[in-house]
Amino acid sequence: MEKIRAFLPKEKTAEALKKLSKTFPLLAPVQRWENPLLEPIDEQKVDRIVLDKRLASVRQLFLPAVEFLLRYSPDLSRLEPQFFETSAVVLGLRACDLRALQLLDRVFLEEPVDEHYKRRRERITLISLDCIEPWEACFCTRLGYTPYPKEGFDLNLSPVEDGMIVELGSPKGLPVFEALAEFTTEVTPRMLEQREENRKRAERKLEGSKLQGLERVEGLGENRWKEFSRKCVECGACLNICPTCYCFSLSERRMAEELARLRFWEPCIFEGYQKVAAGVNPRPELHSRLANRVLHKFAYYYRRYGTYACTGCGRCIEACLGNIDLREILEAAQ
Amino acid sequence: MSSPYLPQRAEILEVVEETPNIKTFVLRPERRLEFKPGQFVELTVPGVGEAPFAIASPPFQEQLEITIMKTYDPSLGRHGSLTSAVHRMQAGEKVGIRGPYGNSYPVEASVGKDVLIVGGGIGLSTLRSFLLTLLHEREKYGKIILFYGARTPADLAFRREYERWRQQGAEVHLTVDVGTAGWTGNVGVVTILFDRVKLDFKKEIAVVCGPPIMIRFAVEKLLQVGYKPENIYVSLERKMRCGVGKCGHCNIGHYYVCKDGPIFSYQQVKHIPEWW
Repeated sequence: MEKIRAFLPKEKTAEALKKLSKTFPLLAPVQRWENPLLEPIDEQKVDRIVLDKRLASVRQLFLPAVEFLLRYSPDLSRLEPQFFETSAVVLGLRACDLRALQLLDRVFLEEPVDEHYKRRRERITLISLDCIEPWEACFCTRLGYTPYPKEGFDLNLSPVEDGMIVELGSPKGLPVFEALAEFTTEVTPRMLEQREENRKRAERKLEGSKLQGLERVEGLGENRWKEFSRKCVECGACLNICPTCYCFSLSERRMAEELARLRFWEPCIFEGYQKVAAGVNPRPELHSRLANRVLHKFAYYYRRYGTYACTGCGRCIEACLGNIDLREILEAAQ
Repeated sequence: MSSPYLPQRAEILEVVEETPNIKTFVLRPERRLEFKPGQFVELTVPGVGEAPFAIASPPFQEQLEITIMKTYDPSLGRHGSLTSAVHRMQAGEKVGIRGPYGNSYPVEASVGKDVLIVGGGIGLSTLRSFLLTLLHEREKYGKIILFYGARTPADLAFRREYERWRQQGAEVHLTVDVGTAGWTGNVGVVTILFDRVKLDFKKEIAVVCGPPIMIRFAVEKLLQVGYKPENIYVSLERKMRCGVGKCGHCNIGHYYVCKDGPIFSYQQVKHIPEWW
């Protein structure tokens, strides 16, 4: 199928974003901490959008850190599941974010379908960006991926000289594409060449030996895990920043007149994660919990879904207080 | 649109006190539950929480029974909040249930075979569903033997029923860790029954549920007396939060206890160091 593309010149970008913010419920990265966070963008906020840094994590949008799943009456005569009722257009995802969503899809869209997640996937339009300058911790190419999106986006933006190539990825992206039409011009072959050059350059920067057969991390002995976990302080940063970590817990909350069930992220590195009745803990040792985290991604998920639950984004490496480098663990399994 | 985390309402019809800390809750769900022995439900105590519990009744029985022990966590020095709350509930009150979840005991594989059921403490709850299923069509199976151990005579669950099980054609052997006045039966952990009881049945199918340490020793014993790893079935406990293979809490290696279990053959899990 012929790709549908347009060119958005640099001098029109601010105006175009302004229009998007007026036309759609727009979310985009705004500088807050080291990594920008997604925030609702109105006309005044447009100039604070940062596109040259990457997002902390996009998971929050689809699996919020805390999410109401049900509201119900104390006698359970009224039970109301809660769903995402609005819609959103999200700007600033990277190829790794899109891939992460595809990995989450396998878990949450398989039977029984998680309708809470599904609704968000259906109602959120994804605008991604090519990575021109990869970060130090990135290793997507070593897992066989590319630093630019090939699929999974509704609209993708590729920075080139004097502007961006806007490419339509799905019918869902069409309204946004159309809203941009008044600012865009035709894409020339030269622009596409530039995009290709940029993409090649980014891939070259990410060069490194391929990491393959990673399900073999299962064979790393207990002593190796003890070594790797020596500097782990169980802060959970790696899990909270990870775009593919999805483990959650459920709990009840008493509201004024009613009760609610909520879901929240629960990092598997925490001591009480697997604790069962009478305080019995099947995984009491930190090193076995760290092992479980890595094995979940590279061995268990792989067995179940045929691919690794890691995008090589390296956010866990940047976030780790103890400087634990996932790449070193994976290299040990080579 | 529905949610996989949405419970249905069930009325507590009756609360039966089994032991000082074990109660059976007889439930009537709004929609009848079709289940197999060995499966579990997620039980909601409104406003308190939700936790997985085995179904104690057999599928052919009209009423649904869930047998629950009020747990005590020595590391926290307190009883479990959910099991305490459910123990305070009375007939007429409402709970939520989701399920049934998980796989089931080897009922088909037991046809024509001698079946040994080994239980410890509250572990007998899920085994009871299996036992009653076998006894319901007694003639289809070979010998049916129950080895059951509890901490003290007062802690033996389903005490009122042992005689009936025997009449229906099960051999029932009991032991307690600590005897009390009036107890003339076996004293010692459940594995001592392997030495005390004449094992004059074919080592064909064995099914085990109980506290982790008991499961481990029982499996060792079963292997010793000649059971094959693929014929030993263990029902395992993990923190099944969602029950539907998503939340990640209940994994044992690459298995999810909620989906691939809770019943595993020893052959399936023996290579996984954390199986117990």
